[in-house]
Amino acid sequence: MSKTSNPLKGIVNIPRFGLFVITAGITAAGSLGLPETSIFSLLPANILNAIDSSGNVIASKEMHVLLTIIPGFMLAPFISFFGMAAIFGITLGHLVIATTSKVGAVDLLSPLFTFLGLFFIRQYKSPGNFIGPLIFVLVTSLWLSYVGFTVTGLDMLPIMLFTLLSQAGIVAIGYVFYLIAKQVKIFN
Amino acid sequence: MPDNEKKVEFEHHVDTSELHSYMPALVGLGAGAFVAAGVIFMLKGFSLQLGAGLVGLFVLLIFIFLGGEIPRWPKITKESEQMVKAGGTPGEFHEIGDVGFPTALFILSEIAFFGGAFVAYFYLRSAYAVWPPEGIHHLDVAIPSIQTALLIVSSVMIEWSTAAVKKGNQTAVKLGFLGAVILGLGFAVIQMGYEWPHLLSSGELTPQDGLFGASFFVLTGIHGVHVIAGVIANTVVTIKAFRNQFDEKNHGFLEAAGTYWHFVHIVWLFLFAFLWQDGLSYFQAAVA
Repeated sequence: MSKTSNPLKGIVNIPRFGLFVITAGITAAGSLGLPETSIFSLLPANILNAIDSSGNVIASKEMHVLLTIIPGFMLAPFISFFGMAAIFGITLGHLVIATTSKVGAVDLLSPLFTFLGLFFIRQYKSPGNFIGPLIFVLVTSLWLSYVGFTVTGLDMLPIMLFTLLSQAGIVAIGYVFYLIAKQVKIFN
Repeated sequence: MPDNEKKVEFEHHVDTSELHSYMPALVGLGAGAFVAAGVIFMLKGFSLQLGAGLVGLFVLLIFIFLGGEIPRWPKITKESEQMVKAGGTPGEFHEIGDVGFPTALFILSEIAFFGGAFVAYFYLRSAYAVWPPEGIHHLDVAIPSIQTALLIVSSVMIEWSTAAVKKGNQTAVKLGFLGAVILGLGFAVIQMGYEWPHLLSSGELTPQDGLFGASFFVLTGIHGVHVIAGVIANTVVTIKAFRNQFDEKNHGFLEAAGTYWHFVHIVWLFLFAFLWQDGLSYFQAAVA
């Protein structure tokens, strides 16, 4: 059957399925397998106290859960290389993590914001551009701040600062790896 | 090569009349008899004779299948090799009518299978206000973490092979799938050779430990069977790769086996979340 006479030809294109699964696996495994590590256990005490002088946010169990680092977000800058398959993969990985969240069912919505943020990275993928990752950090941080605020009812400002630091830190590490990968042309 | 020429060359090398076989119907009938026997055995007041008879019919049909098929295997293998050498295997993986479409259908059927298993699990689980039920030992995440790492690396190796075969890099194809077979075997050995015996012998978790114990062994069991099936498929690909039966044009089976393996991987992520990390337990109290 020739290509012109077969309108279905090419509609099923699953060679990118592997990339989708690998990124989902790395994202999910990073959080399911590694011990819970939040930004509170990484930042020095004087910086923590400077942001949250009352100590309420730092003491909140829910905020510890929300600010648990998702190592899979290091993959976010690599969307420039991997495209939509990786966007769906990382989003699915985040969904798997969200099913285990101790914050509650509201965390099941978080992957939607991850998807949105990753999509911006894909849109602004011109070489060396960091606008995409920046928007990703802002979108996901704002959502996490909102969840933190509604779940705990604590001050919004320290929650926002902590979520920004948490997301920016992990994406910055990924961005460094992305720059290295681009330099050595590992994905060419 | 145009499609019609490819078809003529394919038919020139293979007697296509042999492709029309009654064997799939025979195996389907046998599988139906086996399932019916299982249902009869589970019914109260079942008929032992009828169940045993159906099992006997299943065994008979399988023997007829093996008796008819095994003698043909050397010939089929030889023809397959001739076909590849002639460049006559039809198959761009992603095109309808070739390997990609049936693979996608197969994966959809598997999604339905595991979807049904997960729905049954959550339906039964919904009777409990707390999950896992009190008294159930929390499972250590170290072992599934190692298993997840094995699956991720194996998926990467398969992707490496898949990319390599399109560039004609035969060494990478062989090494990639060989690595995936070894890692897949590692996964199965850790689960069925270490974790299960450890849980059962220590009494930490057994199938008799209520719904959680039964669900754990059923779900990890059916996934384990799929892992073994994936390892077998990847082994066949590896053997074919070492016989140089794949090239830039002909690698549909390689991609189909790889896609299946990726699917097995993704199901595992949900099992990890639901069984080891009590996934979706925040809905527990609401539905109980």
